[in-house]
Amino acid sequence: MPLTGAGKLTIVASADLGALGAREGSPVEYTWVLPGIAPLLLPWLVILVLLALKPNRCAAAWLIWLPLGCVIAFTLAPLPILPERTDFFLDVIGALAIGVAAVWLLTNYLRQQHRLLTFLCLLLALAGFSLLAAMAKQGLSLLSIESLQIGIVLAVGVLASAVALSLAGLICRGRYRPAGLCLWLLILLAGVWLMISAPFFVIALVASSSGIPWSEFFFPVLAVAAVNFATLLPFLILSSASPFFRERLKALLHLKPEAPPRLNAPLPDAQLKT
Amino acid sequence: MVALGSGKILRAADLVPSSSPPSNAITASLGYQETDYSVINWGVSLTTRTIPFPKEPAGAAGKILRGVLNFGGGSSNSIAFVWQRDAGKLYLDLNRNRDLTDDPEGAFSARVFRPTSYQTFTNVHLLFNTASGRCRVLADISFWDYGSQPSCSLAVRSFWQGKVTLQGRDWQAGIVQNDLNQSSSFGNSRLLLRPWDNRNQPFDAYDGSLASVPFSRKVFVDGHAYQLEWITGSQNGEAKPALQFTEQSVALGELKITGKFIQRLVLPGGPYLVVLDQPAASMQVPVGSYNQPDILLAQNGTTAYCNSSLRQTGQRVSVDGKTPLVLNVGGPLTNSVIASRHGQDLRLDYRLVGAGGETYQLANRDRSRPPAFAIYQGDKKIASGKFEFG
Repeated sequence: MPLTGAGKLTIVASADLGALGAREGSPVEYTWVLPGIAPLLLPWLVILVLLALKPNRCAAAWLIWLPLGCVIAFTLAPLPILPERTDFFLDVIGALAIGVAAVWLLTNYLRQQHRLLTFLCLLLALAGFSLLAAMAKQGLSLLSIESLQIGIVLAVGVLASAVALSLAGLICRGRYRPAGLCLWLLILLAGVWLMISAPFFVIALVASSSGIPWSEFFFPVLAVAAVNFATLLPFLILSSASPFFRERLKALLHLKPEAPPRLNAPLPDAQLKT
Repeated sequence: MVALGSGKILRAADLVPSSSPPSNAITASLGYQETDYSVINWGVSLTTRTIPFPKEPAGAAGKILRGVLNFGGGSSNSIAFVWQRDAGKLYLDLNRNRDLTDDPEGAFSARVFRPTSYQTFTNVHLLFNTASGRCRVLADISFWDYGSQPSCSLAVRSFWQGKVTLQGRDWQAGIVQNDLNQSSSFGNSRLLLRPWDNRNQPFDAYDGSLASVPFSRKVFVDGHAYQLEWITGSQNGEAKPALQFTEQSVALGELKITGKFIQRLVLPGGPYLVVLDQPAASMQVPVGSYNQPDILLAQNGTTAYCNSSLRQTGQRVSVDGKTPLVLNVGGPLTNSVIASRHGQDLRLDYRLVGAGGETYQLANRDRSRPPAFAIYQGDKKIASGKFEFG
């Protein structure tokens, strides 16, 4: 419903009923109340609160709005390529972007000594903030079919993103190379999504007597993995462009910090005047 | 169109009933009737096998499914089959000797070859053994195989029918079998009962036209109560069924109907199955408690029906013989909409309601012209669209 549609509405149904009744139905009144503004603003307020945390009190931290804005703008744009009844994916993408933004801002708290602990913190933070954003978009209603659909896909997306990010960090731990990291992330996302969906394919294959075309099963899965990567990509670009977020990403993924100048290198000639 | 044979009213002496009929019994001999439309669908249990039958037609290229169709009513009614999907061929072991090469009438070609996962074979004449003798069935058989368990269904194009005159009015009476398991009691079958003049109109057992009703041994029709008996006679080993109507005395109570355009109203679940055709505003029906009515509305070629089983409230109605029962059902119909909030969305559900708020469906609705809606804020239209099916 458009924002201007708030107030008392009159809805009229019409259909040709022949001689059995009038074409125009009786008007039905419905009072449409604008969705509470608080749930809609909640994710953005959360980002603002995270920006107020001590490690984020600098201008560079506010650059987080750039990738977040890109992804949210993508979800708001009309997408005729989406198949019917799959537009709930847009809500999943938006919620995942909020979760990633929150993780990027909380890195100092999520980074642990052990890589596995960092992964668990990353997973929990990503799941919590993404779920919060998804619930807020659904007007905090948890029992609808739409909420269930979004919840399931979002849960898989969060798991795939967290696993792929952590594994990409493990593979690229020797040296931070943005392009290499992105490439590995894409490969790992595809792999994780395929692994998650493979059991369902195997079950369908076992139950089938004539086989199932691979393409009909795996192409959609790979397409979803690509969309998952596209959601993370703006944040990776930010991390490669901004020194502030680059350090955040390296800390989160346990990437080796830039090597300091070698101490045994010959120093330039200098004289200390006294 | 349907080519009905001339029905005839038989006296009890013409039949082979199990016992002598009462003196006030009217018996209708039923004849086997084939149609060019399906009257009911049967789901068929299917057992597949990978090992070829000892004698089966030459193999064709592509996938071949073989096994046994279990129609119910005992294993003697099962029929072995071979479905050559890519060739669009079906072979049935109609003589049930497990030799699929000696059934000249058992080879069928699919109406449409593609897709191979769903094929229909038309004009399949089947013969079954029932308690009352051999029973013929004409059907279109559909097979489908989407990768998991293959399935089969029968679109049955035959039924049993005859003519019966009740209180001077001619009726087409008959039986539409739902399966072969109930061959003796017909408890699961449908009773075809409609004015004789309507006998050429196509019908489906569950299409809402109410031409057929659930089989009941007690029927109240045209203002009279009848005990209904299914007589399972046979002639030369073939089933020769009959329906016997015996008029009953029954206490009546007043039923008032407020709505219009009612072509047929059926009150199920009571002491009698009450069938009212074009009921007046006030009628007499057997006293008792009934389920909500099934209703067929018709006016100038437009028909709509209300299926009581789809109603959310299962309230029963009672005719007590003292105060009239008022049924607020029927036309005129009204296009209506239910609005509800789903998060940030406004959901609109279309409903076609009758005089008492009961829900109807238009028969033969044109799906290309779905109901529409318009939303107004004051006098300004702010949105409009069409309802989607589903």
